[in-house]
Amino acid sequence: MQQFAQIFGYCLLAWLFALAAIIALRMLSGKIPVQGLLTTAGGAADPERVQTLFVTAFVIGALIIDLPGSVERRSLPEIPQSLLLLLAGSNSLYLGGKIARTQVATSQRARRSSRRAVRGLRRLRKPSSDATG
Amino acid sequence: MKAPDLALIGFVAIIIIILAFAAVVLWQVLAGTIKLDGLIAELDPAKPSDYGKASLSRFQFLLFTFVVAGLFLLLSIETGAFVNVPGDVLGLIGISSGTFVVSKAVSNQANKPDQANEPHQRKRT
Repeated sequence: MQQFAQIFGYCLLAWLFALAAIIALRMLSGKIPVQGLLTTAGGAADPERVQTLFVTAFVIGALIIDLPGSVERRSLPEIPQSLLLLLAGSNSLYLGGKIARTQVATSQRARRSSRRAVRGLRRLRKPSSDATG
Repeated sequence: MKAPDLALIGFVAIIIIILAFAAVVLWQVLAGTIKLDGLIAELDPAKPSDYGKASLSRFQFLLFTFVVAGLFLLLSIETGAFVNVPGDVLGLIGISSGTFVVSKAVSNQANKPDQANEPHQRKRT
């Protein structure tokens, strides 16, 4: 039974790697769009996103480096609290930037649509004033 | 038939069923029936049928899921039993998924005014 369980585990691991490989290949070929991963909606580079990507890579690196010790401990790699705080701070910064940019874009859009509505109202008023005059 | 033999047959049957499910999913992904186009991208508010910008929070969530799941499987095979999942790792997944949820909420909120304006635009045309 132990052998079957091991074979099953290896098959699941192979499946996971195959899925990851398919996703990575599709991202490389452009079938899964990655445009805008590090830029704002306007196309400018976004520093919050860049730092979040760096911190993510750093945390993954820390997880993998601790792998040999985790076999002895029979546990997944332990992440230091400081690293978790770093990730939380980084993600908060990313979200803060996103919320701020979204607010600015939404208010600009609202201003534009109100201007359009005022123009429409003026156009509606003009013919009626011509008719009365 | 002895009880251990029966358990072994049941175990093998369950393994075959789960692996068959996994193979079908992988095949459908390769064939394009299960589409992965929007895996890390969000729908474009201007063109709801297309995918717009890629989302970093989705990408981070995907990376952490694959890394933690892969490490869990690898260590479980190596040690021959389920390994412990420390609270820190759960915290990591929690932070990442929380970021993903908030990011999605912000994006949806930002796209709302466009959808609200649509009926007026249709009426005008």
